Amino acid sequence: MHELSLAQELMHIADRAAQAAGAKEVVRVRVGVGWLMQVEQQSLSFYLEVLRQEYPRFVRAEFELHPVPAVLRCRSCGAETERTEWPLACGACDGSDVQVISGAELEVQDMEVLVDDV
Amino acid sequence: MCETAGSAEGHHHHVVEVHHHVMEANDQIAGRMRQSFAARGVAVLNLISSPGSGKTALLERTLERLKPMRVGVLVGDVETENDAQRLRRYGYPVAQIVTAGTCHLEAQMIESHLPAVEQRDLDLLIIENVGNLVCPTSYDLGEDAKVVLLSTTEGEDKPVKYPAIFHRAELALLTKVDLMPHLDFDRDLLLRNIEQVHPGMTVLEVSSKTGEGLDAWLGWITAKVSEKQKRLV
Repeated sequence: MHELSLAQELMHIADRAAQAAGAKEVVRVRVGVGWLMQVEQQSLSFYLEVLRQEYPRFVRAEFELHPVPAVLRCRSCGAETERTEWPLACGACDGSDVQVISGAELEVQDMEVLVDDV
Repeated sequence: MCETAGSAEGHHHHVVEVHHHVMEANDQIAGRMRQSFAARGVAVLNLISSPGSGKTALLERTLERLKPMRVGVLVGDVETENDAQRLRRYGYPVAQIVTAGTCHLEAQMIESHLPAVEQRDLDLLIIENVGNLVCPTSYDLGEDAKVVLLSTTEGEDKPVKYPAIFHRAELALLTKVDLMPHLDFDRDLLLRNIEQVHPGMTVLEVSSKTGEGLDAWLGWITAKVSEKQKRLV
């Protein structure tokens, strides 16, 4: 159910951006899936497939889901580490006092659209 | 914002940079509420656990003993008003949020139900989220702290199976500790598992049945409330 709400919000964001760009049709949408979002990618893809039918510009759009790792900053040594598994630890000093900088997002990154020639 | 990527008959391809997050709409409302809570000195707790871990029973014991603190409660469930009815007996304003299928509470649901519990000034707002250890983790509700509950009957490996919520929450409550003598529950293993995903996390052990550990839990809440009100002065 979580993935359905996320897919709905993704479609809203993508549709607003397509409209703002004057797109006739959307070919491809790149979506960054932060690892810490705990999103089931298959489920998200499924809902996007279903929902795009309600948006005329998106009927043939392809959604590319790209996993995005978590980025951590170590409070002890200051190093930044990418991580896609638990536990969250610093890659440099193995310390566990880390701050999550990113990786908890689900983001519409960019879209390839068709625009009518003027 | 656009760059041309190619062209064909009558139309051309553009790449549109978007970079918008799905949580933006939720986070905006949550941010607005957090500001308003801060301006009025209202502490907000977001209680998260799997169904049946004893959130409502613990809240009953908690509300009983929080007087004269001014408390409001928002309870999320997929269906029924059962929990709100249980909690209303303690004389505090309680509103049930029926999500009708949605597996978590969102900031906009909190904002629209606030008037029902904020008829007078509050010191503390307690939000009992929908029973679920996954989805509620990502939704900011404007709270000061997420509190994760786990009962002794659920097994010691919950923190490593659902690490994100244990990482995000400030406090873990181990509930139903009165049952421990009857279970093969390895308390040290649980604490090690929590330590693995959230080093240094505060863990309190409570029993709503016997009252064990409630003083520490009430003390933790009271500290949160006075901390919030101190920032007002």
